[in-house]
Amino acid sequence: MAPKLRFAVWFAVAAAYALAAAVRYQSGWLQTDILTLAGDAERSPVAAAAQQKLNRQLQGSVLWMLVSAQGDGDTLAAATQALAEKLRVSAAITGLEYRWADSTRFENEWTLLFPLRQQLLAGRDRKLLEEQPQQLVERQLAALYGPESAGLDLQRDPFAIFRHYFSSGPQLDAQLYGEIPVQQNGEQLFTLVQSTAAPVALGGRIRTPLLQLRSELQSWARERKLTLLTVGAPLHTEYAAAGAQREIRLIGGLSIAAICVLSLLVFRSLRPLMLSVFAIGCGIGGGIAAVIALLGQMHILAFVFGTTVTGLAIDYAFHFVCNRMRPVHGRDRDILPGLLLGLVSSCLAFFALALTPFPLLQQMGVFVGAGLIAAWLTVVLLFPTLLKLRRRPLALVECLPRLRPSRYFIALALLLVFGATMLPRIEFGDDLQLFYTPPQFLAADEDRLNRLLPSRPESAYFLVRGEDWQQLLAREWILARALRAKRDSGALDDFQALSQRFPPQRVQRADWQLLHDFYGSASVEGFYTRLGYSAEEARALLADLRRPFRQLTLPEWLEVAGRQYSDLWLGCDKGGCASIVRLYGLHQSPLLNESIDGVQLVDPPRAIAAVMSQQRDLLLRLLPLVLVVVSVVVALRTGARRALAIVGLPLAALVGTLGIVVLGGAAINLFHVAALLLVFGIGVDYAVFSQLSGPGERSHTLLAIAMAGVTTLLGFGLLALSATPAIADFGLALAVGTILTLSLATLFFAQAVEGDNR
Amino acid sequence: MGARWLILWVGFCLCPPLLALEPQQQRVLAQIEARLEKAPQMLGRFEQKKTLPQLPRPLLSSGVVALSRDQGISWRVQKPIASHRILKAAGTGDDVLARQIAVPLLQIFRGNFSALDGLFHVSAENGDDQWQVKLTPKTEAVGNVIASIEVRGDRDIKQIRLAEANSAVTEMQLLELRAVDESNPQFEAEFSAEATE
Repeated sequence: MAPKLRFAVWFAVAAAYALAAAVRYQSGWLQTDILTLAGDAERSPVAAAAQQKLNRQLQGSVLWMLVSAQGDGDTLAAATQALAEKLRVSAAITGLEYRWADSTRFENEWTLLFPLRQQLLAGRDRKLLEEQPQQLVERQLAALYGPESAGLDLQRDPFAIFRHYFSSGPQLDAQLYGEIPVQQNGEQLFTLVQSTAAPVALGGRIRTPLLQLRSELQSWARERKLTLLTVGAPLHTEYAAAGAQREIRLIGGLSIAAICVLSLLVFRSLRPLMLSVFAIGCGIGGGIAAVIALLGQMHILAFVFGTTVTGLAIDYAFHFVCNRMRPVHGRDRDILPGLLLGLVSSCLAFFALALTPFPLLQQMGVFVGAGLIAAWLTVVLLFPTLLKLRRRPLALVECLPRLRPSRYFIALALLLVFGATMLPRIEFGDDLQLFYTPPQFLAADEDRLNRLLPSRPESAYFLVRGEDWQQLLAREWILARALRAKRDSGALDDFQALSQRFPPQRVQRADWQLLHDFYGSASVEGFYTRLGYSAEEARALLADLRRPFRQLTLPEWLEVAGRQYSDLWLGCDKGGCASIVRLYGLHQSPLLNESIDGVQLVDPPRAIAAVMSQQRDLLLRLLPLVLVVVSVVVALRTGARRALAIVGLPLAALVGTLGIVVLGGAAINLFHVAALLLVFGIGVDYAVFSQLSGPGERSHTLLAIAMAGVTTLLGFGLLALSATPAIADFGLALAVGTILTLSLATLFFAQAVEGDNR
Repeated sequence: MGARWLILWVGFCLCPPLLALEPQQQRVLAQIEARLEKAPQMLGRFEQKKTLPQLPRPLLSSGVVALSRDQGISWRVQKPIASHRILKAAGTGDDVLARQIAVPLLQIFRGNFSALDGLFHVSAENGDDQWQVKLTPKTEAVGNVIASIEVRGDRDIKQIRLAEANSAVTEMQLLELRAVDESNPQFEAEFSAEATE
């Protein structure tokens, strides 16, 4: 094919990819919520909205706790004020909240709810009214005759029932120094400063302004004999981002430098490397375009895995480059059969993944299949014209010791047997710690802060849905009853629900009836006469207390409700209304013995772990399918016997890698499996190139394989040094797999020195 | 008034500002605190007269009081009703106002007036026979609940007069207050069961 025609075809294909992607492009095509991979059946939009709302509350939120061991509130309050000033002037902080200045909100809520005092009850008072109403009278007499009966309203709230209702629920138990609430736990006093951190700047220089600020302020606090503890997602984000940037610079820099040096040494030119990188870039671009055109969107995990696996295209590039290094004039037909078989077998295997109903596999399948085609076309269409290399003979294979052919098969068999013996020991493990393990200094702060302030909410919560707010409150109430029982049994420290403060109307009516009956009882009349009121005065007071039931809607209350409640409300849409029930101090699960309509426990870390396990199992189960597809494709081209020999190499490498990883004590996770998929792809390419290599090409083929293997090791294998467990697992499995594949391919050449393999 | 009190009290306690006692007052308070017998456990009786503006007659009561440095104050009313309360800084129950007012009372019963400097203006007189301490709120938040607290005594606290902002006045006479051993059966009995509200 004439060079111009090749270029024209390449541009036509590139334009087709680009056009198809442009037609289907939509913003937000790259998803980051891992739970979307679980499939629609397990992931509702309401749950996603709830998680997004909670995430927004968490993102950017940093809590500073100043602790005084000596119990001096004045000094602590003054230091807190100074701390707040320091935070205010810091560029890393954009918002601060540390003073008590929210009485207007309480006043508005009181004004709205006080006229409903005849129907609103705290849980303890409801129980007393249901079981022992007389005790309410006795309690109030005891309070009246006690030393501290402050602020009693004998006319409108004689039993402080509304006061109890209004002040029930989680709240600070603090003393106010000026405007700063100081809390106490044992001998230790502490104050809290809630701040909003500026977004973490990614890219560019490695910067950790928040961690530096934390470190400086901790030193400042130590000088004042105080302790400063800090918790919040932005600290972890900054730490992880800085770590990743350092790793990318170190590992990425090392591997790029090593690959450049290697390319210069072997090819005596950087052009082959540049062209190979260009081919991979085309592959990645083609993969993205195909996913957008065919699926509309993809998850970032599929993108990362897909990009990595598309790196397989370097095999085609180096195979072509090494072929063109031969002293004889290179012809396309010398190399095209091997390249085509490598492409077809890999593509079919990955396209088979695309036919499964699972989002991650679909996306990876389309991405890698289309990406490999794009990279392959770049190699075969552009390389013949663009690649300029000095030809030179090679005698690599001749340097290898001559081995009997059986050695190669023995090695394959040994690896297979070794892997098979390891299989029973296989253990699986997927959790969020794979992505990030908090550093000791932040974990220690969090641990100590949690001990002093045990009322931080759990990451798990209940999501409650109803057709309207009335049904939602009714369902929440049923849930709250179950949670109260769990709280009483110690399975849960506490919980927070809208219905605790604003019970469903049915409950409000029942409470109204309880109070109505109570105020009509002889014991209440006796209470007043005992205090010195006449019977007539008592009856007049009681008549005023027995007020009619009043309607108030949830939206009306939410307008004045405190943030601790309004944050629980998710709103209503066509699908109904939704709310969150927050949990504190979860010690035991499951919390519900039986399911409640419209109520769902959402546990994001567990859900993510479950999705990762599900995707890992799927990939593992589909590996045999990939193997069968590759075998059939190769067998059609080479015959069954040679196909067996070809497929034996990647299979042995894969099983051997899995065995070694298991022997190393690792619990197999999604990232190991993704690496195994890549090892298999690499193995297929090396085996196909080896088997189809002609007698005059063997050294150059071995060089291509060695170059591809070594660059893969440098590019991805070095990831084994990463501090992030998921990346390290991926890198380690890939490094082991690549070494095994390279060794087997070398062994193949050592035994295959006689005769033509084609 | 109750609403406003509660609104100001919900979520936190009284408001000790950052002003310090004048040196002269500090000296007098130190002398008074030195005069006071501060045993870790004390047992005695009380007589109380509470005058509420809404009630036609004062509420008179009497009973047993026990002071414990660690466990708080046991306040057992024996007449005209039987009731028992234990006041603690970190109390239980839903009544925020009643719970929070226990804080200054606890400090007073412990004779620890200096600790109240953050909450109140403290004026003290140390006479030959008796001493007197008067506490008036420093901030509006406290002033919305308490008008003043007057405390008199010699070796022990003899009388506390708590005037609330809503004109309620509680006068407590402490009688026969004496130091007791931790294992004193009567003292133990006062703290053996939690008070019901």
